Amino acid sequence: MNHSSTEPEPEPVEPIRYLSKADAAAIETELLKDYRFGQQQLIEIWGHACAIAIAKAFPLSSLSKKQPTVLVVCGPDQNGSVGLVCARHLRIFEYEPTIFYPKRSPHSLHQDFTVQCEKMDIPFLSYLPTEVQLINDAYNLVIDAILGPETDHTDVREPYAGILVTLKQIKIPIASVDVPSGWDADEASTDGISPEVLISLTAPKKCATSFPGKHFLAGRFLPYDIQKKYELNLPEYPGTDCLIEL
Amino acid sequence: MGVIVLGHCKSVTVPHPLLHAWLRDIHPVTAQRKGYSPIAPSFLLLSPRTFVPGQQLTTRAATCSPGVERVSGRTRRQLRSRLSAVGHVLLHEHNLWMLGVRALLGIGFLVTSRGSRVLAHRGTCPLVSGSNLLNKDCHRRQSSTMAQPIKYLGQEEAQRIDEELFTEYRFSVDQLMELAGLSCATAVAKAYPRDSLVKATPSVLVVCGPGNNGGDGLVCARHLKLFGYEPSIVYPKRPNKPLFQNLTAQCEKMDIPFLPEMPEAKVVDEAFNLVVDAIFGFSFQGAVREPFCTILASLKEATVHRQRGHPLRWARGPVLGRSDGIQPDLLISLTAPKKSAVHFRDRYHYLGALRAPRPGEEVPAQPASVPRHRLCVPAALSLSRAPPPSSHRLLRTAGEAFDWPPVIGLMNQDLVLGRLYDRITVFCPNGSGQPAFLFPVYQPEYTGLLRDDTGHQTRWDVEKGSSDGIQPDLLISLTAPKKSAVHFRGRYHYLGARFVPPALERKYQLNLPPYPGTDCVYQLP
Repeated sequence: MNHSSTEPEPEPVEPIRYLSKADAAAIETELLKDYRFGQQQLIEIWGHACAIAIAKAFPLSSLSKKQPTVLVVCGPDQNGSVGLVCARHLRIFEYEPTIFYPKRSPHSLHQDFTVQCEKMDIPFLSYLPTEVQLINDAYNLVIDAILGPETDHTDVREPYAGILVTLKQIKIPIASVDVPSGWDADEASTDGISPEVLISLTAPKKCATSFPGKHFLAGRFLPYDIQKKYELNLPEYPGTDCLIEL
Repeated sequence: MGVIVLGHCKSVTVPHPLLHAWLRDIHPVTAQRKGYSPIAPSFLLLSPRTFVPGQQLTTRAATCSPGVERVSGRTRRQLRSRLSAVGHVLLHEHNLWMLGVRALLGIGFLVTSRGSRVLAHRGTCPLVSGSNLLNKDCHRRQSSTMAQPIKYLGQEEAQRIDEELFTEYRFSVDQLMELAGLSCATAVAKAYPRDSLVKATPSVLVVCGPGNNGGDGLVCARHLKLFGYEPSIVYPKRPNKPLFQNLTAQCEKMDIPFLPEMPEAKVVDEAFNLVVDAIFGFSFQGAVREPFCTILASLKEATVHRQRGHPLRWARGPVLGRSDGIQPDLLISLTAPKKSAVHFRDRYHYLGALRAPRPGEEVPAQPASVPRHRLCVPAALSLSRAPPPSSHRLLRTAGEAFDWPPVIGLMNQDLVLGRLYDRITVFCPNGSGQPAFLFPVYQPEYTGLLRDDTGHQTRWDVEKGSSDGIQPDLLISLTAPKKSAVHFRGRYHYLGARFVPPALERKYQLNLPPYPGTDCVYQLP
C-alpha cells in the first residue's frame, strides 16, 4: 500500500502517473524477469479484472437487449489473449460473450486460452459483418482487445484495419482493453475509435490522460517495489476489489 | 450466400461445442445411438454454394443432398420448435433455414435481404443464436441450483475434475492457482476484515505445504498483502518446480517474510491474528511426515482461529480443516472410532487395538529414545491404497459390528505415542501374528485418551469420542466442497475458485450456487 499507516495528517496525494509506451514495456519485462510472474498468470489476472470492470460499467440489469450479449474482438497478441480470458470470466458472470478472433496467436500459451473459451461454450465468429446495423442489433457492447500498447499504431495490418473501420461506425458502446486499438499509446487519437470505457491494465498509459469516458484501472497485483520504482502513485483500491474507477 | 440448411448426417463436419450441446438437448437419443463424439454435432451444415441465396428448399431437397440423411419428421418438428424458440430461424413451410451458425464456422453469414427483413422483425441477430442457447442453459442451471443442493465431492471425483480441467479444458496450473489463491484471500478478507483484527498489526501466518495446496497458500499470501494484511509464510518443504519457485520469488519480492521454522503454539497465538493452513490438499495420501506433524500439533494447540485445514490421515482420527482436503482413503481409529469417523465414507476403516505381545510374538524394534509407555504392537494399520487381504476384517462404516480377537493386554489410559515407531506392523486380526504390511509412519507426540476399555471390541458406539484434529474457523472450499466439509463446525464456509466451465459443472452435477455479481467467493450457509 502506498499509505503510511500511522500518520495522522493526510499526506498530499500525488497524482497517478501515466505511463509512456517504453515505461509500460519496461515494467512488464521486469515483472516477468525479476519478479518471476508467469505470462499466463498475468494474463489471467488482467482478464479477470477486465471482466469485473465490464460487469461494473455495464451491469447485467442495465443492458438493453434481451440477452446480455457481448462481442469480444481479439487481436493476435497479448491484448487478444487478455480479451479471451475476459470473455471466459464474463461467461462465468453470466454474460453471453461471443468472440471474434481472426488471427490466432502462434504462442502455445495463448492457444490454451482459446481452447478454454471454446470449452466454455463461447461461440467464435468466423466473420465480422461489415453491416454495422447487425452488430448494433445483436450485441449490447463490444470489447476491443485488438491491439495493445506495444503495437505500432501506424502500421495496422489487415484485417484489423477493416475491423477498426467497422468499429468506428457502430453505435453500441465500446470498451477497450489497456489502450484503444489504433491509438498511439502516448497520445490520444482524434480519428481512431472512440470507446466509452477504457480499462487500463496495471497502470494507465499516456493516451488516457484526458479520456472522456469511464476509465478503470484493473489488475491489483503490482508489488510495492515496482510501484515505488516507477512512482506510479496508484490510488488505494477499495476493500478486496481489484479495480478502481479513475 | 447466407442460406444454411440443416441436415442430419452421420459424418462429423463441424465441431462446435455449442451446436452439439444444443443437439444433445433436442435429440439426445439419436446423438448417443449414432455414437457421435462429444464435440461433434450431428448436423451437417451444407455449403451455401450448393444453394442459391434466397432459394427455398424443400426438406426433401435438403435431405437428399449428398451427404445428408433423411431427417425424420419428429426431428424436424423438434428442430423447428427449438429453433423458433431460439428466435432466429426463418421457417418456411417445409423448409428449415437456419442462419448464422455456419457463419460461426467458416463461411460468413451475410444475410439475404429476405433474411434481414425477418431478422429486423424479430429483433435478433443470427449470431445471437448461440447466446440464446446459452441463455436457456443458464436459466436451467439457475433453476436447477435452486432446487438441488450443492454437491459434496469425494476425493476421486475432485481429482478427476482437476484432471479434466488441466487436460481437456487446457487450464494451466498457474492460472487456476492464481484464481484459487485470490478466492482464498478474498474469503479471508471477508470473514476477518482488517479492522476487526485485535492485534496491533494485521498479521497472518500462512503455512504452506509441499504440494499445490502450498502454492495456493503462496498466492493467497501475496493477495493478502495487497489487501493490507501482513502475512508471514512458513514454507518448509519447497518442491523443485519452477512454478513454486516463481511463486516464492513473487512473495519474497513483495516483502513477505518467510519464517525459517514453524513457531511454537504460544508464539503463534501471540504474534498472529490468523493462521491460514495451506498444508495439504485433497490428493494427500499416506503418512504425515515431519515437519508437518509437529506443525499440525502446534496448530492444534494454538487457539488462534484456524482456516483451511483438511482431514489428514491421522492415526487418531481425521483432522478437519482445509477445504480441498477430503476423505482420506483410510482411517485408522485407534481403539475406538471417534465421532469424526462418522463421516468417513472411505474405503478402509480399520480399528486398531494396542495390546501386549503374545508369547513368542515378534516385537518390532523400538527406537531407544522412547518415552515411557506400555505400548506394544499395534495392529491392523495400513496406509496403502491397495485393498487389504481378505484375511483382514474390515470395518466399513461406523456402527458395523465386527469381531476382533480378544486382546490380551490393556493399554494405558494415558497413552503417549511419541515418535515411537518408524514402522507399524500389521498383524492379522485372527492372531496369526504374521506381519502383513510394513510402512513408515511418523506420528507426532500427543497424548491420547482411550475411550474404551480395550478388553474386547465387539461393538462400539461411534458417537463416542470427539475429533481431536484441527478445528478451523473458516473453511474455503475450492471449486466445490468436499465431503469432509459436512462436519465443518467453524463459523464461515466459503466456496471459492470461480472458474468451473459450465460443461464440467453439468457433467459432475455440481449444482454450484450462483455467485453474487462478480465476486469470486460465495458464502455457504
